[in-house]
Amino acid sequence: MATKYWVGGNGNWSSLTNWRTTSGGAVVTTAPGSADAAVLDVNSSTDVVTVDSNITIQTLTCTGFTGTLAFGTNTISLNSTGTIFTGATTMSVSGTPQIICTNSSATARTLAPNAVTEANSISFRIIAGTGTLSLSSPASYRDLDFTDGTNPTGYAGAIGTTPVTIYGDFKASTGMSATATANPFTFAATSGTKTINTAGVTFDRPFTFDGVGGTFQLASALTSGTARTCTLTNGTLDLNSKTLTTGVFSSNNSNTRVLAFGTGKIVLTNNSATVWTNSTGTGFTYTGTSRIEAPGPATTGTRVFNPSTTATSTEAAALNFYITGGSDTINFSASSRRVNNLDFTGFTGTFTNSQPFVHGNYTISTGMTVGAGTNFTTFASTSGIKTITTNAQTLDFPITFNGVGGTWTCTDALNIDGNTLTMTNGTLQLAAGTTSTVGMFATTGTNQKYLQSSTAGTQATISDASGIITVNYLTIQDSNATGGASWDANASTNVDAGNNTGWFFAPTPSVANEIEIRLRSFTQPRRF
Amino acid sequence: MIKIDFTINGFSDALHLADDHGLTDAEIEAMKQARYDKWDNFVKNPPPVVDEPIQE
Repeated sequence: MATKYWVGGNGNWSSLTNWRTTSGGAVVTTAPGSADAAVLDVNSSTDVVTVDSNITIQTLTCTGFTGTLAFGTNTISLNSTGTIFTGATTMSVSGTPQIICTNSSATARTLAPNAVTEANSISFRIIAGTGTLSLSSPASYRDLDFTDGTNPTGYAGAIGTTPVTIYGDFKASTGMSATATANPFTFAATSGTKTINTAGVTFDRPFTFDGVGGTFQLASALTSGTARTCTLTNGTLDLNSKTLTTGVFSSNNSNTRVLAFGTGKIVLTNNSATVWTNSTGTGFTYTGTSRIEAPGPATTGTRVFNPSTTATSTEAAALNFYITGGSDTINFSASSRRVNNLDFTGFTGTFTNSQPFVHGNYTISTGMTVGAGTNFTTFASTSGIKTITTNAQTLDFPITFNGVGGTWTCTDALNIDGNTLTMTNGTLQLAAGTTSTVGMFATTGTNQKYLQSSTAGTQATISDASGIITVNYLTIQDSNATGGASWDANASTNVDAGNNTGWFFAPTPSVANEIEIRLRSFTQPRRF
Repeated sequence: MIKIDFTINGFSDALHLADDHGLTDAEIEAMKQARYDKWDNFVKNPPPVVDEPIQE
């Protein structure tokens, strides 16, 4: 093998005048071929080296090079092992820079492109080999492709554990593997849509998506380890209707960022951590139908969910959470957090008293324990009909209904024991034919709200053991109020919409007139 | 390459195959099932955490 060095100004790679046998030397040699190593270094100065055809060499070293490697549409193939490419942050590239790593042996290789900028990053395709591939740190890549370009196979070794920045597409081969590590893959493109195809390979490492203006789209399911965090810092993470599995998900800043679900979902597998952090909802939006699943199978510990606070987000950004397994403890934070659907079907542990603002459906499972406390749950939807299913569980905390235009239909009895049910806005439809129990029923605000039955014409019973329940601005229909308390709907702002019992309404004007007439007939002397 | 999207029991993934892959429908279905089985096992029986030191 010969090592050949570029000197002498701009020119084509195939030039017969620009290659030397030593760095900056005088002895001219031919352009490097498949048995040679090529070096662009400080003595190559600021030259523009134009790759004028597809090149095959053993290795390429660019340490100290301050010029430009102009690929055009051609490629450089590296057929050797060891450190086959060394880049430099001082150099530039142009065209469609691509290096193809062709060695098919089991001998280890190293790529060392350095932490180059997005504009000067180079695409790498590793089409063969079974030896370890080290991606030296720091290192930035444009596309990182482990297939042969035609088939889903190609490189069949294990990639190393260093942190890697990728500005382009990532494509794994079906036969490769990845050593577990706490060092992340960072996707950092700032324009266009970059795809990620993991080809069924588990990459047990963190994933970070951090590119202002970039879109990072899954071309297949993405699975990382239970101890790993997937972080959306900037840009759009497009699940493209695929499943993203990670231990923890975090998107907690004020940058513009979008989570595009399509019909895909995020599965959180960590069993004892803050598994979802999106506290700061400023700048965060999502598209598609959100679905965040936490399947467990934790039996101890606490999984904490920190969705966006009400102060930093809107109803439109509220996400659907499904706690589908585990017998541990789930906490949704004591500060006000927005969720859309909150569904515990499959969960058998304890839901600690939290303070969610629920904009969607609310489902408590039969086997779980609902923790008592003073943090209140607010049902805050402003449109459509949302369901509340408690599966005979008592919600031992206060609840509030406060969504102008919202309707909540209880599919079964709503029991909040000794706590207060407050209606501020919206329509509450208690389950027809059941008895819902409250510690206190209250209304607030001057907007009209509605208490109904889930089935028009069939009463739903609401029960309170004692005290005086006084309501205002409440339209009541199909309600049987009972339980020992006095149900005072006497204020003129209330409306008796029919089929009510147990409520005391003020007489309507016509009824009042009739009563007065009849009273007069009793009090005035009769004339015979 | 050909991309085949699929969903099994709520797990959504895609196979990427060569244009001339030559696989039968049964073989493709088996590949889908294998992808799902691997994921399902990973979620239900997560492997122990083995960490390398974090590099700056």
